[in-house]
Amino acid sequence: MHKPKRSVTIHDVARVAGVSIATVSRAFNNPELLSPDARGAIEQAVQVLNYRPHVAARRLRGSRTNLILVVVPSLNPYFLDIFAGAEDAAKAAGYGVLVGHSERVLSRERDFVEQVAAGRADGLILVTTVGGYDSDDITRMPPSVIALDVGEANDLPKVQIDHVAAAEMITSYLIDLGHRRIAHILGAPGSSLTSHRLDGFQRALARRGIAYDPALCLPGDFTVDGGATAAAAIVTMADPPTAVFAANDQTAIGALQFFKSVDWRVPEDISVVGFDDERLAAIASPALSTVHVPTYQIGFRAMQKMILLLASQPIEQDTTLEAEVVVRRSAGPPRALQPKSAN
Amino acid sequence: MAMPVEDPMSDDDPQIDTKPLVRMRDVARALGVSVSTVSRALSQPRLVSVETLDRVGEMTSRMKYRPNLAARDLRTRATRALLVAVPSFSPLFLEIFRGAEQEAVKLGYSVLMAHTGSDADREHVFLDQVLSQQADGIVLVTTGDQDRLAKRRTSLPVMVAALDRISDIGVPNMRIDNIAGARAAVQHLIDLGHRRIAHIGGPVDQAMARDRADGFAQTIAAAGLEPWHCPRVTGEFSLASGEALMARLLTRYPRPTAVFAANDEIAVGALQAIKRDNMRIGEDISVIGFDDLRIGMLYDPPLTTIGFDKVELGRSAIRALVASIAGQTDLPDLTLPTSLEIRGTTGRPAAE
Repeated sequence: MHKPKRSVTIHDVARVAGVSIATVSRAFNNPELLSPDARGAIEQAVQVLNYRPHVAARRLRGSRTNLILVVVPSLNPYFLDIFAGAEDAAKAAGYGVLVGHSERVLSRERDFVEQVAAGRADGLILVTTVGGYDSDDITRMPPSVIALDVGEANDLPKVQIDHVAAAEMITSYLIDLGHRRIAHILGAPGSSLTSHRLDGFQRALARRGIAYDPALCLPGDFTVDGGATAAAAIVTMADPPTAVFAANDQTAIGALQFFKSVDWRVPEDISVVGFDDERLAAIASPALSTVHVPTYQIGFRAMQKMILLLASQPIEQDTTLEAEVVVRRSAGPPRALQPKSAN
Repeated sequence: MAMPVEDPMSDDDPQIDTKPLVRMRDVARALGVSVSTVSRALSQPRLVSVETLDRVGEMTSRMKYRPNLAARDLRTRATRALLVAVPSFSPLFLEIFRGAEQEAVKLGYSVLMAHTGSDADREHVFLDQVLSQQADGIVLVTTGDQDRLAKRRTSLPVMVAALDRISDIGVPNMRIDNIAGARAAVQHLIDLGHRRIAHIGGPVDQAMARDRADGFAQTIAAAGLEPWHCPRVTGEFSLASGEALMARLLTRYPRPTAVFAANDEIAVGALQAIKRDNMRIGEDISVIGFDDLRIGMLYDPPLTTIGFDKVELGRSAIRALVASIAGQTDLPDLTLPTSLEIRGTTGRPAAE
């Protein structure tokens, strides 16, 4: 049988330091009022006991920060709309937003968790996570929500999209246009997003009875340069594909740029679609058909969840938002199905 | 001072926590030294021998010991955390933050980006946070209200102003010369032979937007161009604003042959409007931006713009901030140079 874990309280700190509770309290709120000796003893006790003032209790005392820390894995403009959504929801509830950058490094992500636990913000939104948090971790964590979860095992409340279904959807769009030889430019090796995109791609082909050809699966890394490199490989193929599903918009834009440089017209000679619908997609030429990830909504809903958590209101543990295919100008029927042109 | 060597809660039930946090006393016990020795090694390494330092360092990483930040804050009264306050979540500010972060990490600080939304109240909430020791210092990347900052100049936290000129508050200023950059942009258009040049500006309540508009006006006047042919319109620093204002300029008589946009987002919006009207970019109409952002670089054709080292701006702001935290005063202001990046959206005006 498990006994409930006993948490260290201010009473323990006072007992170990040999001072009154009021003195410990003063040490936290007005340390300058204490003698160096008393402060030293309390600091020592806090450290030895690993005492952390209770977040809820601190809020009762009125010393909450009214700030939410949003941690992003990279400083890519792709996340700007997630901030914008989070910011709008926070503003409506009287909260401000801080942003931290984890660079997908676990120790940095954990450092942000610690900072919130230490009272620099009231709650934490992790935009994707490298952590993987089980229920045991959660008891030690400050109020936390995951936005744009990519399927790492964790028990934190989250707002996500179905990445596999979205990749299947855009591949099906190409099939519906009449394409049968479709290439896929992969995402970065090792990313779960990469495998989700590939899964969706293969699932769409299988559903429509199209054999998967590994030769049409090209390496990539989610960058413009990676897309251009893959496109360069495509144009040298003896039997090139008629359409390309790139793992993200940047990859697709790199491919568009390369095709243009060798006078392959998009979509007349080859169709190209991406994934994400970041700002560059709409202004690419031709404008990129892609999967719209509702980043603004993801940020907004994650923040709403956070605000409910902080108010001790019930929340929906997992929320899955719909991604959708956005049809612009970079995909069309394959040449064999195009109306004969005048020349 | 009495030293509690035994934790009164130690091991009262080993089952209650299957994944215990490693505590400082665990590290001390493993090394056979006192808790205070470990504590000193971590917080005042100069006070312990190199040998002890090495042993503690090795053991803390082997045991994955991580200090309790709340306790550390209490102990040292320093958070080793910095804030970078930005007016909006835009790519320009992400780049500046990127530089700030690189330098902060190098100097042993963590850094958070704080969003003010150009709201002066919010800005002052963050300033107060630093005053109440939630962070050691703050970089203010532009301000929503210069006068209000000036009014509280005696009760400002340790801070540095970046990007915009924020004068008269006695804090180091890390900036670019927006007026000179704007002049170079407009002069480039004049040198190409343009005589009807419009300016699409940013919000007039932002010093950065006003400076860029001033640089435009000065250059037009110096070249003796007809002001009536060189209209100025203002909106937001956004794609949508650039697109809408350009659409309006395109219906104007006489139509301008070139546009200086106050930033790259406005410029790209303007280019979209020009494309939609089936006009030739760089022939019928030339466009130059400001900031040199990725969105312009990846645009087809790539945007001619005014660039500056955004990462270095962020880095130097943090260097100045950390020097201020260390008590240095009279830090010099710094103005980073701007450069003309000629790409594919500017050319000679079409013959009429």
